[in-house]
Amino acid sequence: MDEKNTPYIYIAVFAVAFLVALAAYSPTVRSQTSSSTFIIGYGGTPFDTFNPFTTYTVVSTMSTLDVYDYLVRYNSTFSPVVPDLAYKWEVFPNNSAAEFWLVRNATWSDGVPVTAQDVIYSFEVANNSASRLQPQVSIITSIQAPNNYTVIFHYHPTVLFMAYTAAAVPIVPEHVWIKYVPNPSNSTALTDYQDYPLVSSGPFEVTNYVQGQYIELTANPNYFYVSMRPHIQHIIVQFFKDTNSMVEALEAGQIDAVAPTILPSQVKTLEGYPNIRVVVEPGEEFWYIAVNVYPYGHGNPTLKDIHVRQALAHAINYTELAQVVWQGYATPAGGLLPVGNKFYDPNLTPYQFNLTLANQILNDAGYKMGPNGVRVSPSGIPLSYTLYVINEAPEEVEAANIIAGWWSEIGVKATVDAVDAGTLASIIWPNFTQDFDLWDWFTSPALPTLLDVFLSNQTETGTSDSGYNNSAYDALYGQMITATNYTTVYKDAYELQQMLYQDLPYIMLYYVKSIEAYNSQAFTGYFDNMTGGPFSDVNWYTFIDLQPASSPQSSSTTVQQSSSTSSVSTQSSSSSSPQASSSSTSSAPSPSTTSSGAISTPLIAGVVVLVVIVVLVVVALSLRRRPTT
Amino acid sequence: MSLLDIENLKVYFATRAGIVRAVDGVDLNVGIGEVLGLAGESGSGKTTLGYALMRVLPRNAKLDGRIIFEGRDLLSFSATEFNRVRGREIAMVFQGSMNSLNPVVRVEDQVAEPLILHGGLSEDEAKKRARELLAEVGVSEDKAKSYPHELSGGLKQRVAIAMAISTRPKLLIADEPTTALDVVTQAQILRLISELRDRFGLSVIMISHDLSLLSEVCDRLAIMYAGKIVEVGSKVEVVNTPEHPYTQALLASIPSVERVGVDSPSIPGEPPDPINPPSGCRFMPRCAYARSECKEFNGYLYELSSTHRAACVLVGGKPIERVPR
Amino acid sequence: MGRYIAKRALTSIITFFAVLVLTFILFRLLPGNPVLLLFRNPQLTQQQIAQLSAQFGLNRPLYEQFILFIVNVFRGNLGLSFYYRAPVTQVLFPALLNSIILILPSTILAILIGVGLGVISGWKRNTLTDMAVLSSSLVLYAIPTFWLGILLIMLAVRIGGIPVSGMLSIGVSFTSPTQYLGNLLRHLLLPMITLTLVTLGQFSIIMRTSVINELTEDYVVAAYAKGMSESRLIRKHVVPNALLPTVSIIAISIGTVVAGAVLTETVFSWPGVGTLIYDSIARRDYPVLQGAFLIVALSVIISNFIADLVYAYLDPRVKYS
Repeated sequence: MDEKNTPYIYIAVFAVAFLVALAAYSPTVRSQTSSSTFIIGYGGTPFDTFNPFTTYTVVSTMSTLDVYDYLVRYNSTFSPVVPDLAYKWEVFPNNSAAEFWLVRNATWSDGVPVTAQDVIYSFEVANNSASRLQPQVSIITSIQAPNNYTVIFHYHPTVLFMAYTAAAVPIVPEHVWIKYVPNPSNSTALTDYQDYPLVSSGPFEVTNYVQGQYIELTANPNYFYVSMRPHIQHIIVQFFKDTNSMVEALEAGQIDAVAPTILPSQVKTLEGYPNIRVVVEPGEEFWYIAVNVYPYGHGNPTLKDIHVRQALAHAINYTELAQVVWQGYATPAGGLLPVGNKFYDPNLTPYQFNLTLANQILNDAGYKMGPNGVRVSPSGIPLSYTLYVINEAPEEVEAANIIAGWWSEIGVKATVDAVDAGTLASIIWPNFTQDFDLWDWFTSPALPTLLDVFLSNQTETGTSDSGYNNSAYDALYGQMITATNYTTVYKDAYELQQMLYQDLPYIMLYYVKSIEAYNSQAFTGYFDNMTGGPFSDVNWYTFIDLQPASSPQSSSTTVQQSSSTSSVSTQSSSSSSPQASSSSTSSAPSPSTTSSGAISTPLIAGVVVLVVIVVLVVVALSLRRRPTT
Repeated sequence: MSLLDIENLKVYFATRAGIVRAVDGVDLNVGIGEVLGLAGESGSGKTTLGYALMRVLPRNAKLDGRIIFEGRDLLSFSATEFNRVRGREIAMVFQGSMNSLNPVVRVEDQVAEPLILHGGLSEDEAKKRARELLAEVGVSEDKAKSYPHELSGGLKQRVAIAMAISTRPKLLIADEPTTALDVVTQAQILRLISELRDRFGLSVIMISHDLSLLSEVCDRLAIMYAGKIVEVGSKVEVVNTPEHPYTQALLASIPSVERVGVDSPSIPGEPPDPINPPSGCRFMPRCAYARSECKEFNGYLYELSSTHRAACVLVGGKPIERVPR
Repeated sequence: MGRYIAKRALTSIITFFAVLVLTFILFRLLPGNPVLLLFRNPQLTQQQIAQLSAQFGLNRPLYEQFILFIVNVFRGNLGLSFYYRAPVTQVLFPALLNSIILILPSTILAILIGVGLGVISGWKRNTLTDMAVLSSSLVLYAIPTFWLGILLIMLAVRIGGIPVSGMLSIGVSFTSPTQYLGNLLRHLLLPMITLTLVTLGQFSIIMRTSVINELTEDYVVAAYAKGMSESRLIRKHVVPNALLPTVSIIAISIGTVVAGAVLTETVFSWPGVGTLIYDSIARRDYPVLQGAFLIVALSVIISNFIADLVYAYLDPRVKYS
């Protein structure tokens, strides 16, 4: 061996040993003080910006829900609102004005007091054309502040003002934002402002943000709502790209919870862990098939015939579909608004699966069976369609294939085409060249305003994918949105859903439940009992109630000052104080790292497969026996 | 006292088609300071014999017999032991048509390598010596720094020779050293080899298919056919009085400048299959004088004189009338 | 030699410019309007859409957009991300740095191990050692990255103590740079093992073939005839020659490994540039995509350039014309 090589080897060995030692003596995966740090993994659409007016991601909203204050907030039953920055409010009898009294001891994280100026500024910014809240504040005609702690709104009459507008706008510090967005209606300035570092007044503050990795929230010890002060010091929202590794991290105890939702298949793997609890609640999402009924569209014209749509709706077994695709974690759908929504109509049951009936409808309407098993319209157009579905949801692609199978039994040919969301959007808008698209919506459980998707004027905004065009519907919606009492709102919401149920611009499929999981032994205080589960974009209780399991303070303090005087607003639900979730019994503080005793089968299978393949290839290669020269 | 004594050397190759008997029982010796020519057509086993002496055969080769070099049987050496013989006491120069030089290493470094390996010299000393050696064989100093692809064929062979003799080996094996070189360069190379033999007492085994070439430079000649030696003797004896029909045919087939316009006779037929050689004399199928005794002939080299031997039934025993069939 | 370098450099620059044009065109060819996609919001008005399109320059003629693009690239202004509404450089560079931290050591390790294995395999060709190494390399080359990654994660979870995601432990304060480095190394362990394993297979196979080719060359026998040990023969004669074609291939593959680490980054939630590219494609975030692709193209071009130089340095037969 050459003398010259040996020094290099020594250097290499030393370097490796050094690195190994460095790694081994680094702080362990969870530091000892971490019992007051809660880590939640987030595996959905990645974080874009903290700016609450320009963000389009749920993770941003979820993270800032307990960072910014609102005038009022949703409670767990959306009944509709409870106090936050405003401890008291009065809605005037004509439902076109409301007065709010602000607490006086609220301060921003830089010490400046929160005043009515901040509220006015925030609502003005919300009205910016680049703000996603603009439609909700567009009904406001004027805002006044008679003094520093009182705000009066005037708006186009509607009873929905509190839930739709007042609870929607986060209050941001004017004295900080004015430097970047001096003119609240300047859309460029608003879009450019990333809002980090963040000055806030809520129960938590944003203390760290590393792009692509995590957000760190720290409890605000001076939060004005003493009873709502957090029990946990730090919350970390860690971003994950892949739900599988996120669930693995939960199993390994490296994170304490997962959001926004996990797949049914992953629920199975978590069942073996006694310290992990899976929470299933009504969700905010539903899947549907939109039928192109746009009068100026270029889809198959037979879809404009109600009989065709009815037949198709009867030719889907919704129960079986929900079982196969979501393993029971979805509820077959009837009306537009899902089962966790305040305006859900239980009387609209899913269409009955009845192939005989479907065939009969088509026969009676004159669609004769063609030569190759595909029906033909009286004017000679075959019932042959393309069914688009977004390929970001592979389970829905499977659903589309199953549906196409059922439809073929009534003489309808549907070719499934899975494309990505961007491509699908360009197919639908602006020219409406599709027949069907299988897609989903997320909607706030507090409001019925998703119904505006079907307004005639929504075809240009990239919203209405059915192209539904019904002036009666438009008028009724306008009535609902300006109703001055909740009875009317409910009545109109039900009637609008009924219209859709009858006209079938959407064939509703199922409402998906929200599935979340968390470590129930190391922490307690999860607020499960709300649509969307403990970690949704409307649940502001969980982060506040969370506490380490060993801490003596275990009573949850989310008793709300159910406020206020007045109001002609009729509430449909009764309770105003939400239940705190009972903490699971914890005898001793257990460390958050646990390992399952059972070696998992997939792991063994994987290793065995690897070894077998290598051996097979060795054997195969050895058998070649080429002449050796 | 001979430098090299090869006793019943056999080199067999294990292949998928069968066992190739490339060298099938060869006896040969080389004296000190002697140039032995080893002639034969392609496939005769002469190159394999050369490689066997150097033990640079491929892995599927099996050797049998004894190679006595300076009293020691080389085949009994371990690989590590033989590493000290190879390139130091026995060296090899390869065919002129081959690329026997490493393309990415400078010529002087390649010549220096055996000196570092065997001579224990430092890198700088070895390089200095290498340049001297190259000068001795006719490669100037500025060319010493070149890479092989920058040199002509003749220069490359000189480098190869310098490389081989750098450690002052006792035996040099030269395998077709002048193939693919032009006649002028050929003569130069041959002259170089002769000079080295004169100056240093170098023994040479020169392997070639070209008898006329060998007859110029060699002291003794051995003719090989189908893995066996068929005739061996001094140059004069073999060239002037060849006794083996194959040797005679070879000599007759050399084109001559004097015999312009006349086709040289070629030997009909082909060498036997090395996997399944025929029993008896291997040249029999192509021999003009074949007779029934040849079928049982085992290749014994009959003595014609103290130095001249030939493996033919016509030689051994009673003199027989040579009558072509 | 100087002329050679200059010529290669000029070619690289021209190539880069061609990539700029191509990148610009390609992304405009994707179906889908980013505004409609990003802001799929029931409440978005027609006026708002128009405003957003204007803001992102999407309503200007194509050639104007292109000139703006070129000018900005050379000013170092890569534009504003549609999705993050932050400067592209701010979005890209941290991700790029994170990717480099993962990719560079992994690739270097893959090269060292892969080439080493290839040499062993080639030298001992057709023996059991060769079969074992070759088949392992083939299998590693064929294994899907995410499968291997998840397998390792499962293993790590059973063993405990090894981080399975992210780059650093969160919620932990580091009292010294060595602690920080140590923690980073701990997180680097699994993704680096994964990336190294899936990359080294091809290097091993390439080197093996190259070594086998060299072994058929004449000079190998001639060098062996000089009386050296097998190991010296391999080290000093076979490997330097066998390395030549391998170096070219390896240098080129380094340039593309940046994008190729997407799968590893996804499985381990490593905040690198691979996943950024993937997400940006789905979101039609043109500016980020342009920036990322430029960087990948740049790295490929540079590594090609370096490959040329290294090869010319190693192989004296290359003419410097």
